[in-house]
Amino acid sequence: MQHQYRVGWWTYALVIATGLVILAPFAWMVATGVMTTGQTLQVPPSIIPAPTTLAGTEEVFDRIPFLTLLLNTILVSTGRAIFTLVVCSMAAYALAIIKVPGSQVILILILALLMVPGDIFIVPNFAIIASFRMTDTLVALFLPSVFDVFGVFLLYQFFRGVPRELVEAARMDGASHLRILTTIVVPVARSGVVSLAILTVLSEWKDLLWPIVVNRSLDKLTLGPGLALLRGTYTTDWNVVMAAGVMAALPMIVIFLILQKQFIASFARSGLK
Amino acid sequence: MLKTNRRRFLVAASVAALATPSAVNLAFGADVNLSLMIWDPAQKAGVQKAVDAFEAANPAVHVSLGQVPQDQYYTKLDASLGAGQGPDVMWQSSKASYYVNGGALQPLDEFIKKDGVSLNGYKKEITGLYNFDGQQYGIPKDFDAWVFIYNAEIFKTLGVEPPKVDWTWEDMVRIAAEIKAKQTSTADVPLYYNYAFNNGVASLVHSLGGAVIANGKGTMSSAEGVKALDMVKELQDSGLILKIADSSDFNPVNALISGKLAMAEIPSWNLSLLSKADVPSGTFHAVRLPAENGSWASDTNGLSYVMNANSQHKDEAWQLIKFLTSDDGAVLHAEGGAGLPANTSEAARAAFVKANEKLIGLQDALSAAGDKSYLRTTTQYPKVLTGLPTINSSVMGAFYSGSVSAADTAKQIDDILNKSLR
Repeated sequence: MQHQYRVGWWTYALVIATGLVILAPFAWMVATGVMTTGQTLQVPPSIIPAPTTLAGTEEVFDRIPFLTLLLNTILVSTGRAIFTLVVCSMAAYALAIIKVPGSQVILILILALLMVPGDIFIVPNFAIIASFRMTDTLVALFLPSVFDVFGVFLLYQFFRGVPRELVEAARMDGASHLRILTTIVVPVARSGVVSLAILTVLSEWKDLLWPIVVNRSLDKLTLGPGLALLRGTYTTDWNVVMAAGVMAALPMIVIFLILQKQFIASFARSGLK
Repeated sequence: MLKTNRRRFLVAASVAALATPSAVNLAFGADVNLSLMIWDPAQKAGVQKAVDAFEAANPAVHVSLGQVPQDQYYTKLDASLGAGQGPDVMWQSSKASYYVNGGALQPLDEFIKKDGVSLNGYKKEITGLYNFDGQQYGIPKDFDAWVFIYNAEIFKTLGVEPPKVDWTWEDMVRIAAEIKAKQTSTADVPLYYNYAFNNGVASLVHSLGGAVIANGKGTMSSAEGVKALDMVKELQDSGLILKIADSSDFNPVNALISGKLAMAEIPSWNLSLLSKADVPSGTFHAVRLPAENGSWASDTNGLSYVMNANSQHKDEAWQLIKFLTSDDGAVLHAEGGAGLPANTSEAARAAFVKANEKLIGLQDALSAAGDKSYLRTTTQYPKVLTGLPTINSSVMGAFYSGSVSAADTAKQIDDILNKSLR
């Protein structure tokens, strides 16, 4: 019999207070986005815009090709997610299912690489992309990231949970490794695959340093560096930056609202957040 | 015979063309694409204006001007120059020595000599910053100067007499106290004085006739060094400037524009932000820094245009550098309003002052600052950059909080400076 817990008023109060703490910065961002530059400079800061204006939003479109950057971000995020899933699932399959010779050593190397800050690889990554003559291209934005050690490790953990019997039965039926991977392993470990896809898209959506370093044309950048270009060196029109921030976050918020059940279920199963 | 000669000629021409890509472009009139990289968005309009004029005069050369946020500027340079790529022409600062040592920058002496460019037309201290082992790697584009800006509307409203052109430190303290006494809102601030060791404090040491480093050793423990520390702290303790601990996100430019701050010490690179602010003309006035013992001092640094040693179009890149730093180029850049030209021509200075004409008295204030400028400590001694974060955070933080005396603070600073200089 399922025990029914009584939810006290203080639980609601705690949930509301926590919700407000989380949502307040977003609300402030939206409010600042519809202020005039003068309002954003007030001391103490004003939180309610009066009057509201879309001047900041218009300024965003004047200063950067926002729609181009948004399209680039969508293309690059999608491309990165697809290629990352392909590369990482094949690598994880080799380590977890096939158990290739030296897989333990490879895993230790992967764990070691996980502990190294990614920015360290900026210079060698640039040298590799430059040797391919691919700097200042959209592909350059995601190519180094598709070889993602975190993704390999994450999928390795999920693939290890796939019942051996299923894989062995398929092998006895003459299924190839690619067929086993696509028809058995990935569907069984789909929550891990979906989690990795989401994390990859989020990571690309907010990436800043690599796009700035590898590309130089404004129309070959993504939203992260686009927003950074709206900041001045010494002073910043915060209403413009916040208006751009709202517009940049909006697609992700809409996607989350549409797919929130799948998102939450996937992360709950994967134990990530 | 004719046939053989023609073949020889073609072979020789091909070899020559392969050897010098620039020669190909010049010889056959092919278009050349140059890339130029800067970091300050406030200066982009001025640089673009100069670039447009260069392109108009050189129709076969196209310049792509890229602006990279300052936080990522050097990371991008490190990555791209390390891979043998990078912009043809770029800005450099006091970090230039690292790139020179790495062989990433092209010495310009050959070009300077060939075109007979005189370096006497630039601020001497800045020109010297880009000379390493007798070779010139950069042509100066701008320099820094500090002036005081006051919001005349606030002085008028409060009925306080504003600073005069020949004001002193005592005048500054007196005026700030008068304003403080009449300000009613707790959000209002009478004065902003740059409290950073490398700027405001060091400038005061120089004003008092001392130096931060002499004979390769820190000299903050001198009477002038200790007095300078005490003078800045006194401003804080008497409430004339914000408490230093609360000042990290205080932006004097924004505060002046919003009318919350009456007067502030402002560097030249921020003047255009004030002149472009949406306030009535005549709101902001400029005066030189207040004198102490009849003198004042303004720390300076300066940027330069440098050339990538791996540029495929060195002749064209040099032509671009030459134009951007010429009298005409400097005037066009200055018309953008940001970046005080290191080109010493009267026309360049006049263009900068005109672009910032909403700041009353700027010409005299800048002249006074330029006359009394000295190389910033970290500019003259780049090794000090390693110790500066410690000085700013732990040493100066403890001093301004009142837990360490000025004499002990000066001694600690000297110890850090000496360690850095070793």
